[in-house]
Amino acid sequence: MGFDTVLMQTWRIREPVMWLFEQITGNRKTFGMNLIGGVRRDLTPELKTKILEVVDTVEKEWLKIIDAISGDTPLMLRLKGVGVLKHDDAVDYCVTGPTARGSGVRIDSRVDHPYAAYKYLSTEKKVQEGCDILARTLVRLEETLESVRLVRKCVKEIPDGPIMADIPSEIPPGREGVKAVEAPRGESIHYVLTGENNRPHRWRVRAPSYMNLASVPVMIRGVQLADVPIAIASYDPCFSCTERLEVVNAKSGNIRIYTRKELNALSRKKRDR
Amino acid sequence: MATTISLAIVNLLLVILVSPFSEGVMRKLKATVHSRKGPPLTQPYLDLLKLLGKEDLKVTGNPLFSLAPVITFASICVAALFTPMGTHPPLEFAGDLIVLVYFLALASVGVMLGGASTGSPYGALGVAREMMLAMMVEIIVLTSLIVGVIHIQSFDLGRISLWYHQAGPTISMIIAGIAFFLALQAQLSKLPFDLPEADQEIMGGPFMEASGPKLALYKWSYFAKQILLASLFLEIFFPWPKTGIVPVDILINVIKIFIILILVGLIDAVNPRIRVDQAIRYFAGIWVVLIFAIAFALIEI
Amino acid sequence: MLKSKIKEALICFKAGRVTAPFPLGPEPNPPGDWFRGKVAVDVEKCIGCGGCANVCPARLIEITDSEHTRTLEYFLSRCTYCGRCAEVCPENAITMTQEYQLATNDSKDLYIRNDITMGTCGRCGRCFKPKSALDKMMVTGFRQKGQV
Repeated sequence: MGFDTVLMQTWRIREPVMWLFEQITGNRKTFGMNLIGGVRRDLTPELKTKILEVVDTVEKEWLKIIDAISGDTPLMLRLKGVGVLKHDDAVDYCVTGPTARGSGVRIDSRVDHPYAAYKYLSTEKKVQEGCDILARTLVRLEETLESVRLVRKCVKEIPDGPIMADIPSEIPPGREGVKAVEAPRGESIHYVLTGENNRPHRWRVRAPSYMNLASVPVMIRGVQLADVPIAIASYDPCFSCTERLEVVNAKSGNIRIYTRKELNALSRKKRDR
Repeated sequence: MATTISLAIVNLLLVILVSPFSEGVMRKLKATVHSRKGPPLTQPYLDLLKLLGKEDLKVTGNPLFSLAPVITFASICVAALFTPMGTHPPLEFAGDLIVLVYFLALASVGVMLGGASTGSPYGALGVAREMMLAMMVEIIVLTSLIVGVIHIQSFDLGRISLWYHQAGPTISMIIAGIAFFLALQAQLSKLPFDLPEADQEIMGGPFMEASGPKLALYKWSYFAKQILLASLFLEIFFPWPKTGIVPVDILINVIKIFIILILVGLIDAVNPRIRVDQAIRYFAGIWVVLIFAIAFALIEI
Repeated sequence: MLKSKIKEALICFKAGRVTAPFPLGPEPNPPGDWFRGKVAVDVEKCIGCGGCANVCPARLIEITDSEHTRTLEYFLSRCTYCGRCAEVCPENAITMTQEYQLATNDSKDLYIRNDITMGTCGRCGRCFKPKSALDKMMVTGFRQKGQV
């Protein structure tokens, strides 16, 4: 869309949050905090005050930005009524996350299947009925403010205690585990099959972008070319999470799907070079 | 004779040598709005030098592909000789308003030829958008200039400017000036109307296949268009203050040009791009406003 | 619409310039003590237990045994900077430094090799690193008669 200004300003607001992550976990994006049975590091009281400060600043600036762009006519011209995904289509194509919540489908894995500490926090589902790109953007904006509220509640009410649960050091092999968690892009399902030597035998992730990508042909039917990039960006694609590769030969019309072994061989060939 | 040649040289120098500096100022302004430092003010000069030194790739055998950037740049340079920049235009004995508007249109046609001659689908898309936009905007330019023509019954740009300087602001000229300013964003290919070129959507549009010296000429003609159109707008619709002394007038014009370009740059920084059909509707609205301006001009107010 | 544009412009101008001229100037946010940067191995303290190799998720620590020598090789180009090796090491020989500018065209910068000459316990037959183990026993004391 060419609207670089809002991009730069929102990333400026995001930067203190990344510094905070670095202070808490040791890295900006790859936290590495979860272990089986608990987390690796504890929060100190100085960190708690710092978290509350940063979160206050983020909320203030975020509200200013929402206030400024909500009256922006050219922006609304581009976002309203574009990339429409109706409620029934959203349910049929099984989209998740803000893509679904922007079309009126009331699903949120934090509320429907609570995990971690979510059963103590009453998360609200933020749903919009617009079904277009503006609705998805509004869902994401509201979820930021909801996350701020959740972080404040967590920091204030977190009880003292050990950071690792008491688990046996040898995890028995051959056990399965399935759970659906809420990633920023939607509902992500993890399946683990344990093996010997305390290592997993199989770990499969079904990423949300895999499902959301299927709804793009419905969204862009009949729109102009200028609307296609923003329609694709509105469901926040993570192309590395879509791990199916189909090669369609347009002349002969046959479709070839790469199997897991072939995909693994392709990526190993790239790494060994 | 000597004044004509010196004025012509001054006009050409302004359009060729000062225009990359104006682009540098606009880029620095955009960077300030983005909360970052931005490139140095002389960066466009270095960009053009680098591009001119690169290898000249020939993508297609079509001779239009090599001629189009030359057409664009040459038409802007010639149009600069017919534009008033502080005083009367240097070649006013040879042509007037109509010639100027034709040469500006020829610049757009040059871009279209260059984009269409390569045969790439992105080029075709960019050319289609450029055509639609040029159709809407050229008419606005011509009509708002004709408002001034109606007042003094002559197509001579220098005389329109002198008349407006003495007559003071009139309603018709103010409306026409506002319409021209609103179309200035599209003429200069700045957001929110920079559909034809430099898109994240269509990968550069008509400029996708041009590289090296051809791209340098295209970019240079866009920079030169900035100075030219800003100067035209200021001389016809905002000719104050004007002393009688020619060099001082030229200097005052340059300062006013930079102020207008800073305003254009600010509007460019805080706007997203809008679609072609929405842009067409917007400019159709401006046509209606211009009808009022012409009506007011015909009744001499 | 004009009001919202003015508000946007005001937000941008009030923020000022946020970018820093790094690396020509100071870092805007230097990493703290808990930052997980490049792995550093103190070869004096390492006793060759192999706990780090057991727990590394990228499997970049390779242990090879020849006659009396145990060789530990750390191929740090594959490191994910998770820090498990530093947590698990019983002697605190592995630390995560704050170094993060690790791009190089010399692969030896990201390769650590530790050769440990091991001796065998005469009583139970297990391998141990004589120099450091004996130094440690001078501090902690010998096993008394009758203790297990």
